[in-house]
Amino acid sequence: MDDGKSPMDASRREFIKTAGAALGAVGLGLGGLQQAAAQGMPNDCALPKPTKPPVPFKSDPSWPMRVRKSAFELSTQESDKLKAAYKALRALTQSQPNNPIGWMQQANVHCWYCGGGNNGQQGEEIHESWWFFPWHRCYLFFHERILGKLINDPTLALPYWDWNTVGRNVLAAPYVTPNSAANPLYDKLRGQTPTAKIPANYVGAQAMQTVMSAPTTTAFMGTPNTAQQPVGGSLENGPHGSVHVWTGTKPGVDMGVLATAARDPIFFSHHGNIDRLWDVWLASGGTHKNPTSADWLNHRWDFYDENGVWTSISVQDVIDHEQSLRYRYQPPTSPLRSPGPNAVTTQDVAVANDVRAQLQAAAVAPPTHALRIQGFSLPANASAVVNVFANLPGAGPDTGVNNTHFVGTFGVIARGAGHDHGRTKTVDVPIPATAAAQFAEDKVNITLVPVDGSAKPTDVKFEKATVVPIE
Amino acid sequence: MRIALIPLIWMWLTLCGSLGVVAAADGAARVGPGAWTTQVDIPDAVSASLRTNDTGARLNIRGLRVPGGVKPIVNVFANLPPGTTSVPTDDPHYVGYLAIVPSKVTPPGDVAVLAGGTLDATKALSRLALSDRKVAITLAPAEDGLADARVSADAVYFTVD
Repeated sequence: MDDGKSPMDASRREFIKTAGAALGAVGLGLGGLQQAAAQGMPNDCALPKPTKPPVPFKSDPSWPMRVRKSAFELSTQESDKLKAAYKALRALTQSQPNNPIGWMQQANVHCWYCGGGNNGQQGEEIHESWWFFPWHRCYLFFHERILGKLINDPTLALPYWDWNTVGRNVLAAPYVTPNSAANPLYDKLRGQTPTAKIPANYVGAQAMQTVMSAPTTTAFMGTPNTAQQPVGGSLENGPHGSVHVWTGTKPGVDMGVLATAARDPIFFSHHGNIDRLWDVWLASGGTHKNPTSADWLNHRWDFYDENGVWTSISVQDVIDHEQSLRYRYQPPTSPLRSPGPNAVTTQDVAVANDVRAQLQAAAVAPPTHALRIQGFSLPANASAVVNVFANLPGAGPDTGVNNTHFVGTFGVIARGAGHDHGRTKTVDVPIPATAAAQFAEDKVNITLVPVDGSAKPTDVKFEKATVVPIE
Repeated sequence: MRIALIPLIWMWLTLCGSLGVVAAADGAARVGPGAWTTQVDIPDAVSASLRTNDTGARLNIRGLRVPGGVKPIVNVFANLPPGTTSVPTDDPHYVGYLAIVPSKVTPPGDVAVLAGGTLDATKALSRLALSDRKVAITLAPAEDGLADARVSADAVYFTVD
């Protein structure tokens, strides 16, 4: 299936069965049903047939490095440039509908690889398995290069929609300004208003912590596609899916179903964030690793590149995206992720010689020592769940807890105005054996990260911390 | 009078099905009327991992069935007390959620059978202090859809990470 053109049998991913009549009794009428089906499903999403065999992808170190930024941090110039590129892309579909790099043909690439159209023709299924991350990286790479080519700017970079950053669980301004067809980044089949918010249950700190703490490659990235019942990983079947569904009007409209999802330009910034979070998960270290199987690394897919050349690219080609694809992510400028020099949530803590020795010797549970956090404070009306990390000053809400830097978690409940509960609060967090190695030097840097509750990151303060024996 | 109300009720139901009204506030996971519960065995290996807490208990849900007109976002709970309609997401009974984007439109009256997914159930099971070898797993639509539209799964089981 590597040529991406061969039809498959019915999708293994999903099938639809007729259910009881009770549902139909309260459902849409036949006309509405037909309308929904027509809106949600293209008939044929096969790409124009290539005239030559695919050319192997070849990286070029002379390509300028493209810097992908949060869609919330684009300058006016960058936003205008992105809009100009999508305007040109849409115009290409109007003037040359069969041009494989035009807008609708680009959207059909995603349709083809995720169930195909109404004619039963489809490519390899790249969702619900370990193909999810690398395939979308390839797709975004070629899409980005096409956009740059259309405005003759090879530095053009796709933005990413960091819906998991506090305050950014809304549609980013470039995509809704104006919120009409005059904006090339607008999609009329997007169901949310510019002020609507993705529920915290789906993309808030607690949900993200669970997702980004997935301890194994399979748990985060999905099973091999050859598994008896392949499934996607924690990010694909969590925030990825909920943001798709939330953005779509209802099941079956553009972002709401895979067949049409890439008809909304916001798809590409949504998947920019998915691609970035893959990096974040790997950077947590420990057991967070890519598959090493040759079946994964050597697998190939075909895409039309920015020059309309049918190109074959492998998973191995896209692992090191800075080196091979020449793009990198600029982290979001958020206080949650960049504490900065004046942050009060991070400080060095002394560790006495005898304590260090005892901690290193006690490599089994139960913990022998605790980290005593003194003078912990919050505003009286704020609540927080706080993660504690050792020697990880850049820790943020995305940081997983299955690593040697994680010490523990504690919570503080709001008591309301007039109850200044936080000023003298002392909390003991037992030091698990898994984190003992962080206490091997005479100083350890301790960082507190609020991951849930109403507290802002700047609300969380502590006066000092010490390591004490557990009585 | 009764006849006059019927179109209004019909419109309301259709609107709910179309728009997916969110009934639970942020920080709480909704247990919709279409909830479905199944008893799941806890294998010895999972019990052992919970005691030592060095590996995770993974809840596997395969063949997730979601009726047309229901958004495919499903909350998952463990040993949910009867009659519960909403659970804080930091409550031990809340395991997590699955959101699986269908490839195509599922018309009302049909059911999409989606691949399913897995959730880390370590914290939920540890905090529930389970005394027997079974746990009741409940799947519930995260948002309102068609009334009484029930989600379900072909298989629900635990493994160790």
